[in-house]
Amino acid sequence: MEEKNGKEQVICEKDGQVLIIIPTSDLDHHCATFVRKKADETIDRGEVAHLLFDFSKIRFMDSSGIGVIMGRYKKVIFQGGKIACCGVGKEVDRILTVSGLYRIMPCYPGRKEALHALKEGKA
Amino acid sequence: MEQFQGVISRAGERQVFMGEESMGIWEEPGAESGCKLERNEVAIEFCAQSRNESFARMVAAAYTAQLNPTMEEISDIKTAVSEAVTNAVIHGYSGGDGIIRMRLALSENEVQIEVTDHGVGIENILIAMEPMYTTRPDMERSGMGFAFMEAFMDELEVRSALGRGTIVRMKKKIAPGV
Repeated sequence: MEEKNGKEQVICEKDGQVLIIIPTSDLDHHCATFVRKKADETIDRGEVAHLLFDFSKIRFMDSSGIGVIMGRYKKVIFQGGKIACCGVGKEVDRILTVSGLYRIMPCYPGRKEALHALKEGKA
Repeated sequence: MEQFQGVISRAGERQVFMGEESMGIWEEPGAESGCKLERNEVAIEFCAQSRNESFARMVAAAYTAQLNPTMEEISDIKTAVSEAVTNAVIHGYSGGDGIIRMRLALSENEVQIEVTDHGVGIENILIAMEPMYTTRPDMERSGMGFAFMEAFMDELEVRSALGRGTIVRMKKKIAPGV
């Protein structure tokens, strides 16, 4: 399922043992497909231990976003991995709060703090 | 006369009801209102494709803008529409071809949104509404769709008939601007 206009839906960056997943388009069912595919390319190769969701580029998320986070969480948790998030705006915060996702995914103000916590095993 | 089942959810209370087709499950847009001046209504139809989800919620947000909603109210409406349309795409039509119809109406300080599909229908609406319940764990569906619609809107009504389709109706009061 390739996007015809070639618009990037997600950027993935590696920082040591952490995969930083940066959705760049509203995290709905449509975008979720791209996030899942791109993130799993790296996760399934076993190149990373932890995941960091950076939501600073999006202002919208729905239950499809919850599904993507839960799915990726299940992939890393059994190998002792952790997940965290950063750059959460008001809209995304509401979804993460209502869904109770903060219980498994601590939130940090910025990428630096989140990376530090994941690498130090504090997340 | 074919039966449909319905559930109405308001302030945390859910009520089940049964109805017949003639009770308006497939009624034509404008039928209730007759396009009276005191009631403004629009409807759009679009293909059941995931790329149209963002279009649908933007239309709903833009339409509601007439009531001067807060950013939070707009955000709530966008989420609820997104959930309803996603359900129609994924569950109603199982990712296949189909048409989704969205109707929007304003009356005083309330927006009403209706999302209709002519897909497979829901076997048991109450069960489908349970948080975390999903028929598609393989697709990493979180099962939070109806829960979000309930949480972010004031009223949610779902009517469905197996093999015929589903109608989701939602209402939200918009606080008058200061």
